[in-house]
Amino acid sequence: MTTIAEFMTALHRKCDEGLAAAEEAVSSKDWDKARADWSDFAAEMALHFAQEETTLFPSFETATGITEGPTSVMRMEHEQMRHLLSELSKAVEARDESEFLGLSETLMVMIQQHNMKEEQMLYPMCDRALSDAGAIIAEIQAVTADGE
Amino acid sequence: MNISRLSFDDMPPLAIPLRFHLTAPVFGLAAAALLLVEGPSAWLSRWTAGSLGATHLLTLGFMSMVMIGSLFQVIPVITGRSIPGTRQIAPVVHVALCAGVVALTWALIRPDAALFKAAIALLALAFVPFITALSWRVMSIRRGGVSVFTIRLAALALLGTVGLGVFLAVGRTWPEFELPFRSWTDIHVVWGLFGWMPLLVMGVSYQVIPMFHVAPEFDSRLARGVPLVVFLSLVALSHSRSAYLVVPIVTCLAIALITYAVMTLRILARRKRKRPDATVSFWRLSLGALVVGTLLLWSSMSTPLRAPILEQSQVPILLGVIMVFGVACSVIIGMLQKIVPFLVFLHLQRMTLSNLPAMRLVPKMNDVISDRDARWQFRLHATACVAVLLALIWPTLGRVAALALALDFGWLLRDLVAAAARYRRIRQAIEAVAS
Repeated sequence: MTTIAEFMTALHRKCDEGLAAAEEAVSSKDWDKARADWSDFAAEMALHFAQEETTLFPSFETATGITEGPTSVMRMEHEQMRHLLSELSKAVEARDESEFLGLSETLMVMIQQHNMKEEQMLYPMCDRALSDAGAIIAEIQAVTADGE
Repeated sequence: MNISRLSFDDMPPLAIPLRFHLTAPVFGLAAAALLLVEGPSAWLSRWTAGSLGATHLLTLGFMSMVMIGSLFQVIPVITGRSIPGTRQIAPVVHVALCAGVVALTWALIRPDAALFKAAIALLALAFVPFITALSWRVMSIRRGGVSVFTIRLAALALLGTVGLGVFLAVGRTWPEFELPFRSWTDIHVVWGLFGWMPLLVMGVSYQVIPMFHVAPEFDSRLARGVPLVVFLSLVALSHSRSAYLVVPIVTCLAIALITYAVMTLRILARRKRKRPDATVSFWRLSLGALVVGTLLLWSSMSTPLRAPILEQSQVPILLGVIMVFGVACSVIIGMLQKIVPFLVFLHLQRMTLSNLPAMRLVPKMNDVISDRDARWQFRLHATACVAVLLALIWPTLGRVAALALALDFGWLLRDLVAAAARYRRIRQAIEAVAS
């Protein structure tokens, strides 16, 4: 059966690929494709944050009683990434290649160190703390980008 | 298990890796200066004072310096746990390694028994605590997969290289022991250049290439099998007393190293992140050099090498130049273009975690080392690689090669010092906002 760690890690890889596609379009100055790829990626990220913040993290916090631990750090890092995402959206609108590529390299690094903590620590902790992974995954899949 | 007590991540202060990263290019510059002073003679044989001195300035002062500093940083990232006693050990290792490299280089240039003794003591002070603490961590951890598996072998290979190096230095200090000097030197060199260095490069690449370049994961059987074959080949080579066995053993070693290089080049070619990136160019240069260096080792061991443009005594230097400068320095300089901006960003980002408005002060990755500077670093390094190869063919070009090396390491030092200064400035600005 799929674990929470495996399911969530696959979502991370999908986001990585979305960012790589947008970067490639910007590097080749294909701005129409860049806008489309960017908006797909930004939507994917918003959905992923919502899935964690409204479903996975609260379940973990309820099961373990830990609210000021890893999930709180992850929420703060999500805020920082949202800040970078909004800066990047402005760069795409302004068709500013160097600003975009500078910010996207920073976002990529931010995402990778964040993912590593989730994939190596938090998700395995979730798998240990939450007995019914299947039900949690179904709940995560039901979340939409606006967090409903 | 009480999960609330698990440290979420265990990152050492920036000063710990950065002190190693900042001093390393100074030793690279020292190697360039030594080659400049020695002139053409340094390129004629591996036993000249200039050649021996420059080799150790580069292998210990630059290569091992960066590798050790980075291990203090990367081990907690890969395993979730620091090298034990990091904060106490790292400053001692750093000072002892710096002083040890200076003493050893001096002793190799102007042979002096007292200096050799000092070098042995200082390098032991650097390596014994480091290898002990590193081994303790990587042997006791269960997580980390193929990276940790490979770094374990790298730690053992470092132990072998340093152990043999101490043995050789003892032989020079107390000549009455009459140690079999030259043959043991070869084994020392092979453990360093075909063991410790490539094994660590492999272990780190398994982690960073898929992550930073959005590339496919390494095949786990090959990723585990290749370092194992490398390590076992080196063990077999060290114990082999028969010339007949050397050829099959070196063939195994060569097949493993070339498999690694080809596998990694293919993974890089299949990366999803296609934006221009100097670090990818550095990786390719390094892996290409690894193929060439491995083929050279194999052909020089299996047949008396016919290299008409080189003197026979220069073949080992050529091998050393390719492995140290082409393989190790390329990947190290390339990785530093990413690691240092990453660490600067990460530490400042942590400071603003609960203070979002201060995040505008945190620099972007390429504000720390710009893409343009990284591209120039690659050009300077590729030029220096060509220059050192030409100096082997025409030793009269030795001083030109030394200048090319000085430019390469000088550029690196400039970028790293600027990055550290920027970190300091922005940290103060963030602290001012917070208070």
